[in-house]
Amino acid sequence: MAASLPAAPQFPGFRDSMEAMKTYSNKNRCFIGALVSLMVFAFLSPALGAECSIPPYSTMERQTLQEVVKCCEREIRNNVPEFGKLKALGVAWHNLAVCGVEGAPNNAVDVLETARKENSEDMIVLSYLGSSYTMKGRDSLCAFNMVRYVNKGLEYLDRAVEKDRNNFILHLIRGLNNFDLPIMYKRRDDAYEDFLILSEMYKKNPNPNFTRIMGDVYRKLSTILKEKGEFKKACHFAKLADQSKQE
Amino acid sequence: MAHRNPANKFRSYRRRFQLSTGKDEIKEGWGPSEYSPAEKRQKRVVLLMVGNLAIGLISFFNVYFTPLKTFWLVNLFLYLFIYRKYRRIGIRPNIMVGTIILYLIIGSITLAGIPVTWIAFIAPCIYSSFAVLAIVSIANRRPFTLAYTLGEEDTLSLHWTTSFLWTVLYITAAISSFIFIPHLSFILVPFGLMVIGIFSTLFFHFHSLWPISRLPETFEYKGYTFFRISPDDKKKVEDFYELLIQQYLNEHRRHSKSDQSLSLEEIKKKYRKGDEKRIPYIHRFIAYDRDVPIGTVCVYIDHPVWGLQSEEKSGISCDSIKQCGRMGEIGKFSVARNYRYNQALIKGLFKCALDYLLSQGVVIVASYSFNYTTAMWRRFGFMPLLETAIPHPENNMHIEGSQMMPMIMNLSRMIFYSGSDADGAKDRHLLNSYYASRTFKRLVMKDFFLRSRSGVQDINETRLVEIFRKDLQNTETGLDGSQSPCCATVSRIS
Repeated sequence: MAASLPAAPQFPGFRDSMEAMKTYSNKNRCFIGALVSLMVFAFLSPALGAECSIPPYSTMERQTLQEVVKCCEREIRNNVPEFGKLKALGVAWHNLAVCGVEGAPNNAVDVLETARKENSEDMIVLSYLGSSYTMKGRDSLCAFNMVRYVNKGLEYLDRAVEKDRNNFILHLIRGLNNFDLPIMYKRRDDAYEDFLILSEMYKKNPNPNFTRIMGDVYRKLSTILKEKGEFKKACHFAKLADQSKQE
Repeated sequence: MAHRNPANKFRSYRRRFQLSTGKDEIKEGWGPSEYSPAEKRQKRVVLLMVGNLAIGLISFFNVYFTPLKTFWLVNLFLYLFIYRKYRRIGIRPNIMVGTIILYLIIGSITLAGIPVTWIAFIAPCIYSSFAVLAIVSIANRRPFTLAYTLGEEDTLSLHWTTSFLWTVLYITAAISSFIFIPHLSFILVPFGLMVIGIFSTLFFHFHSLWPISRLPETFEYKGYTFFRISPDDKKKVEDFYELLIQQYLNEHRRHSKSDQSLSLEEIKKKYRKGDEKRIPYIHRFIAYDRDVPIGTVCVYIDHPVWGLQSEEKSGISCDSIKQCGRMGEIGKFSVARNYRYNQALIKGLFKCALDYLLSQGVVIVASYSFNYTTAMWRRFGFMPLLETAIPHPENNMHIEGSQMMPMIMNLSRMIFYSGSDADGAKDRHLLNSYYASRTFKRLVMKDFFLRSRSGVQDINETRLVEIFRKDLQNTETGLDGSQSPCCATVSRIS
């Protein structure tokens, strides 16, 4: 069963420049989000419970995700809510939120909060919850809620990584979130650290399932290094990104 | 410059209004009066000042707590509205023009389709711009708040205080809105500071401006020194009663038909005893010419048990008048024989009493004085409450020929109808400018919230006397006095 990937909330403002902000669009957001989600989810299928009979998460297509949501909701309504189903539903809503579906971040937060109450030790859920909160902040209308939810999301993401420092997925979710946040959150350095950790982990244990996602991580790492003025290192990671793409 | 001194400013402001025709426009009866154009303008300025602060609060709230895409439009509309109101009374507040331009820029950026997340950085820009404007105005020796309030007609120290406060708040808000990013404090701290600024400004205008508003313990007026007597200052207390009783006995000898001789020490003891039980609801003032005590006056605040001195002495309740506004009393007024016709001394003593009463929020002033002094009290705008004087029951000593007359004056009319040339109004310039303007602002706000009903400033002394007598009559005839004539009139009008 193929799986989808979690994606970071897309905060376009201040990423590069005002020009970059202008070119930003929902289409791009959905595309990038879908891509990242696809990649992360590929490695999350065991954690989500491969035995789950719910249709595959592999796609980021809205229609498919909405079907997954419907299916999960039906099962949860009819039976006692299971942690695995809640988790799957939460992740589906999360992915819909990445695609820019209105109200999806709120639903993702609600479901994942319930899942977290069921099992507070599951750091993947906590991480997804954090990511959902940051997207809830992204979609907030007023400045206060925007900052409040993003900060809350980041707090959950940090907590999840602190509890399980060696988890590749947690670093990946946090890194992607940090990378896409606006400059005001001052998370660029954290994204850099997360990506370096991911790079080290991958070097030690080059899992072919991670190849595609690592290509994206290397590209982002290269961007950060360029911003820092370390062009030599940036070129190195750009080459690695290209290699991953070819593979 | 003539206007640098706040007292001069207030005087010039008062002088200017002597030209208007306030009194004629004040209705004799009980009801809302019409105002002169100058008075209307003053009223509007006060209302706009409060409106401006309210809009400030709303606009800061909007920036953080309402949709980012539309907050600028709401704020722009609000500022355009208040700017138009200011323009209609001939004021052009430049800082408001700057604010309007700022919101127009924000609106243009939003309409251009640039994502709204950039707004996080607009707050430091707004606060920094305001801070710069405030600093420039202070450097220019013209507090920017002058445009919002009664302007140069208000107390200048009030403007300096509020301007400094806002400058510090803007600078702090600008810094905190920048350094606390991305923590939620970068929103809450500057917003909290603005709320503090708004409520502090209201507090300064409507309540207190300590220590600037603190009445001096001592002040000089035309060569005489006036002191507020501390209860612990035994020498001044002794001087106060010595002079008071001496003058009392002199006057008694002149006017009383009685042959009964009065003991100075005995009366002094009884006077002191009667006053000391009222501490801290009594404040005594004494005037000196060099080291010689030459005048005394005393202020009574309504005591929760004893009421006013006149109520206690005459046994007549002033409750019906008290329902119209806060009441205080002037008493123990005496002037040394050689200074009897000294206007400066008399005015100085009245200033002591009225300033203190104003500082306590008193708007109606009573006096309980000898019948033969009513002419002098009338000069200050007092009116006798009774048709005939009553015997002096001072300390159970009913002295034949020594009769007392309770009198009343509506101090709020003197303040509110600045154009009035009513009795006593010509002495308005004597009043403490901060407390006079504070009382005016309070009356304007009350007037605004009362809407169609009349405020205390619309009850002239004649009407107060009518209210009092009607209540007295009802009490004497045993009618139900649960609803005072004052209240009854208010409800009838409304």
